[in-house]
Parts: sequence; C-alpha cells; structure tokens
Amino acid sequence: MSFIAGVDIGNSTTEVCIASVQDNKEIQIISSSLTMTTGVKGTTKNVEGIINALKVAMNKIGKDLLDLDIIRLNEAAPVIGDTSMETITETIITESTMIGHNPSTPGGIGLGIGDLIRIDKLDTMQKGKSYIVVIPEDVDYEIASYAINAFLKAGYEIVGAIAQKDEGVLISNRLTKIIPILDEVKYIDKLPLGIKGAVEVADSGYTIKTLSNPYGIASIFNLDANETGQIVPVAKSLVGTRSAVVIKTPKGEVREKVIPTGSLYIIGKATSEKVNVDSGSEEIMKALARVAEIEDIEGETGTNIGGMISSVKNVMAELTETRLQDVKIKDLLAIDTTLPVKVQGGLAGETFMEKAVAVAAMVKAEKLPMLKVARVLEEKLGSTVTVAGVEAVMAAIGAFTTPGVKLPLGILDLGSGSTDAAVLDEKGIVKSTHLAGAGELITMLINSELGLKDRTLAEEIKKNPVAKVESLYHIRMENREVKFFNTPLDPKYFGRVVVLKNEMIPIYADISLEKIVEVRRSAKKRVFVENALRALKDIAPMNNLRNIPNIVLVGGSALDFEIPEMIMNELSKYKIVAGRGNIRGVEGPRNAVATGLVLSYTYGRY
Amino acid sequence: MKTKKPAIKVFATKASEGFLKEVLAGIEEEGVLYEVEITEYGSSRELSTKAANLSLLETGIGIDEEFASITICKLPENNPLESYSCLNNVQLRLAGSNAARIIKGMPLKY
Repeated sequence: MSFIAGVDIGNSTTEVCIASVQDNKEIQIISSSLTMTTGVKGTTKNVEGIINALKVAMNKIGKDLLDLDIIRLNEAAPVIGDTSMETITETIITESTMIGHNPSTPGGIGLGIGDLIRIDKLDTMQKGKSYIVVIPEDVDYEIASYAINAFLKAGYEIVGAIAQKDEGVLISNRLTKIIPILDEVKYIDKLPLGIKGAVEVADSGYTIKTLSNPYGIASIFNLDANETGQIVPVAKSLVGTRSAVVIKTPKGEVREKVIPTGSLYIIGKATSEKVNVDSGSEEIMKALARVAEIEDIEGETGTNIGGMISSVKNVMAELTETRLQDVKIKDLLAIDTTLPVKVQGGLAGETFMEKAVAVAAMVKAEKLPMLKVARVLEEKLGSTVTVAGVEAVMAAIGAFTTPGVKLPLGILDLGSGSTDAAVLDEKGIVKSTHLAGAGELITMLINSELGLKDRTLAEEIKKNPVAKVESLYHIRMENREVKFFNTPLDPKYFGRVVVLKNEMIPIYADISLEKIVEVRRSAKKRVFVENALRALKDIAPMNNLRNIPNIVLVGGSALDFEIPEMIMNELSKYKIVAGRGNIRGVEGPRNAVATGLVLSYTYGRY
Repeated sequence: MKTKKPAIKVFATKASEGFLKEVLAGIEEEGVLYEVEITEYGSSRELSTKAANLSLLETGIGIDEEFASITICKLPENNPLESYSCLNNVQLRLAGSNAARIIKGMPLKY
C-alpha cells in the first residue's frame, strides 16, 4: 500500500487531498487540508505552503510527511487576472460655488437669498438689502443669536446663516425670526464674502427643493440657458440633502468634464475592434463579443487605459519570465461603476459620485514554471513529485464526486482572480475556458462604490452579512432578524452598521445598511452572474446553455453566502440544475482539483 | 421627580452648576428635551443612574465637579456608558449630544 497526495495551488489557497492506494490500484481518500498559498501562484515560494498543507493532512491520519510516496501537483492554468479602475468624468468647481451637505441638525427652515456678511461686520449692513450671516467657530451661539436679534429688531433684513460649529439648532432656538441656518461648514473662512448666496434648509423629513433644481438656481441668480447648463452638476450633487448653500462667484465655474481615457483595441484572429472606454462598459462588452477569438487586447498608448493594460502585462511577464511582447490579454470584463471623488474647492468635504469603468483583464502565458516548484518539493521531501493534469480537467473529475450529478457536467470555478468553466461530457472530453473578473473585482467595486478606501473592510463586507446596532443590547440583521446580547455592547458600535464576522466590525463611514447591502449584491451580480453566463455560453455544446443539464459551483467564491443562490436563480431560467458543489459528499465546494489529481492517478490518461 | 415629558433627566451637584450650560447645549442642538435638578451631593456615576431612572426616555446625566456621566436604565447601576471630563467644554458638549444621540439611535460622536 502506498500514499498519494494531490496538491492544488490556487491564487489564495493551497488545497491537499491524501489517498491510500492498494496494490490492486484501489484508491481510498483518507484526508484533506487547506492552507494559505505562500507567494505568487506558480513560483517556488509556494513550496512552504504546500509542505504546511501536506503536514496538516498527514497529521490528521497519524502519519508523517516521509510516508508520502507520490505527490501530484496541478498544472495550474497560466491565467492571472488583474483589476483596475479609471474615472471617466470629473467635476471641477472653481471659486467654491456651493456647499451641499447633510449636517444632522441644521437650524430653522426655508430659503434665504442675500449677500454674505461676517457676523462682526453686521454694522456695515444697508437697509433694504438682504443678508446671510457667516458665523465662524470662535463666536459663541449666544453671542451670535444676540447680535442677529439686535439687528433684526433695528430693521435689517437677515435671511439666513452659515455656522462653522454644530450649533444651528442652538442659534435658531434663540432667534426672534425663523431663518434657515446651515451648520458644520468646515472651511468657513474660504467663503467669498460680499457676494450673493442662497441658503436652503428643508423641513425635517423632507429634502431641499430649490437648490437641487437647475431652474431654481437659475431663478435665484438670473442665469441664462447656457449658464444653467453649467450649474447642472451642482444641482445634481445637492439632490437628497436636507440643507445646502449655493454661492455664485463672478468667476465661478462648475463643469463636468470627460477625461479622455483612451481606446481599447481588441485584436482577433479574423476581425479587430476599437472601442472607446468613455462609451462605458456595455459598449466594451459588445465589442468584445463581436470578436470571435481574441488574440490580444491593447490600450491606446499615453492614456489611462494604455497605462493600465501595460502594467497588467508587465506583472505577468515578470512572473512567467516571458518577454513582454509574448504576454497576451485573452479576456476582459468591463463594469460601469461610480467613485466618490472629493470636490476641489468644496467647503464641507463634499464628494461627487463620478462615473468610472472598472476593468478586469486576464492574461495567458505559455506555462507557469510548475516544474521548478515540483523539483524543489522533491528535493525537500524525497517523494516522487509530478506535475499532472490540466486544472480544468482535474476540477471536473473532482466535481463529479458531488452526489446527484450526471454527465455532461459543467463546472464553474469562482475564484479570486478569474472565473473558470469546464464541461465534462460522456466521452470524458473536457472543454474549458477562463474569463477575467472574479472575487477581487467584487472587492474593488465594493471598496470604491461605498467610498471606503479600505480594502480589508471591503473584503469583509463582501464575505459577511451586515447588521445595525439598534441598542446596547441588540442588533438588527439585514434580514430584519433581531439578536440580543447578555452584556452591553461597546458604545463605539452604537447606532452603527457592523459587519457580522466572528466579532463585529464597525463601519465608521456614514453609509446606510440598505446602501451597503445593495452595493454588495449588485457587485456580485455584475461580476459573477455576468461571467457565469459568458463562460457557459462559451463551452456549452453548440453554444447553447440548455445542453448542460447540471452545473457544479466550486472555488473560494462558491463558499459565499449569496453568490451561489444568485447564479442558481439565473441559471434556473435555462432549466439547468446549478448549486454549490459537495466534493466527495463531504468537502463542500473545496478540494475539487486536489481530489481530481488523486482520482486520476490510476486512469493513466491524464 | 419622574419627567412628565419625553426628556433627558440631568442631575448636577451644587458645585458643578457651572458645567451645565455646555451639557444642555449639546442636548438642545440634537433637538431633545431635558429637565435639570440640582442636588447637594453625589457622584456623577450615582447621579446618572438616579437620573436615568427618573427619565421618561430612560436616559440620564449626572454631573459632579470632575465628570459628566451619561447612562441608560438598562445598564448596570453606577456603571455609566461614558464619562466626560468637566475641565473641557468640548467634552461637556459631547456628553449632552451623545446622551441625545443614544435616544435618537445615532452613532456617538467622539
């Protein structure tokens, strides 16, 4: 009897499957394990992780590493995905023409239009003109309200106020007249004084009406049609806020400009396509679909997309030790997204949601240097190490151990760098494909669309459900369920949205639970549902999805708590049975390739 | 005396009356009502529990010469949620606004 191990080195995890082989070649699988991959997939740095994984698996059955006779490594598909994002619009506001934000407690209510004047200059006011008072943080609310009351009594027209500190309600409560007061304006000293402005505060429960309407702003500042067109980005960014200020400076200028992001050249065997990245993801994907067999994809040199594409190629060239010109991009997934960008010249830290295109590219090299990994491993352990089998074939053989499947069997490997698919037919022939865009791209979309600037947090949001801390003793999950705690929660969690990992991770950014759930689910749909359909159409007999009766989902993202359901829902429209795999009836969607490597040992074919 | 309106109860010792203004401003800015009672002696911890028990909103603030403490009925006695130093006006304002924000279910300010 001998011991044999199958080892699958993935982008993020290394999986091992151990079996005993009787003299009559009967294979019995007895152990498995999973550890983090060390180093980049396909490099000798992987050896450390492989040995760790083997140790864990052998220890489980009370054996030593030295008892291993044969180790079979996967011929990892030499595909590497990389993601990047470029904004395609940029809103520039010069001379600070607006403030739009949502202080939690603005004061008063209404719309006030008048000239901006600092509170210490109130004595220079003229009768018959309207004024908006600017109150810096060193002026106490009692003094400010006393001064405003005094001038109101003397017959001056004060119609609104802008305060630096969070004192809008305090000032408002002490005034003899109700005027709109916007507070928490951080950079109040940047406000241009002596110039006409408008302050609007909506009643609680409502949002502003006039300053979020381009014609509203036009009526206040007597703008012509041309100028009204220019003010649209301001109005757009004020939609949904409870309070806002708009100031028209003489030189003030707001425009939304489109950055030239460059063109993509999709070079196929027979035809080629050129598509402008500005035109958005839908056009890019359409162009991609028109090119039958993609040879390479290039970006226009000297543009954003050009730089992005060449950096992907550089990474791949270095890794595979091939020449740069031999690295070819075989697939690309483009997705429309938004990116919060801080407004230049904003006075309260406003951000605009700029349009952006996120791109995942997939590069294929000749071969990853797996043989080198095998040699190093052999030297260290003394067992026979071979590089065996194509990854997709092994995955299909492994996935076939899932109870309840029949041939032809489709597998969808939802990884972190790429989405791979294969179909295994009755004759044992495997057809496979690799597509750009997977887990990493989802993390990037969540990170940017929620404006987190924190990849680790985005990763956690992707993997776990969220909840809102409603009191010190209970939280409400995103499915409305309530969970109670015996001891009071840390007050820093109170009122916040938290990610439900083993312990709660608070999200400090001001984002609602609904928004987080919406972004998370839509990112997953846009990447994996789109890719599942693309991949399966590619490999299905006669390119018809209905010719694959059952599909097994494997890979890290198949463990996700909602992605498999999303794909199942979509595929059930085509009468396909799809679900999370359960390798050998025990492993869940993990260990498919490692299992395939072991099982194929006696086939002698692969 | 138990508050008749939905208000935060504030207990302050005689010696700490001067700290009241900022705390109350914090509550007012958040748009919540309050009722003040002055006592002879007491620690901010004890006073906050006592105040919370008398508040219709089950939220109380206790102020002594050193600290302004905020708590809610559901918390163990004399073990306030947060205590803020009376030496700093910004901290005192925070005590008021955070007591109000607990009632409104909003994240606390720091």
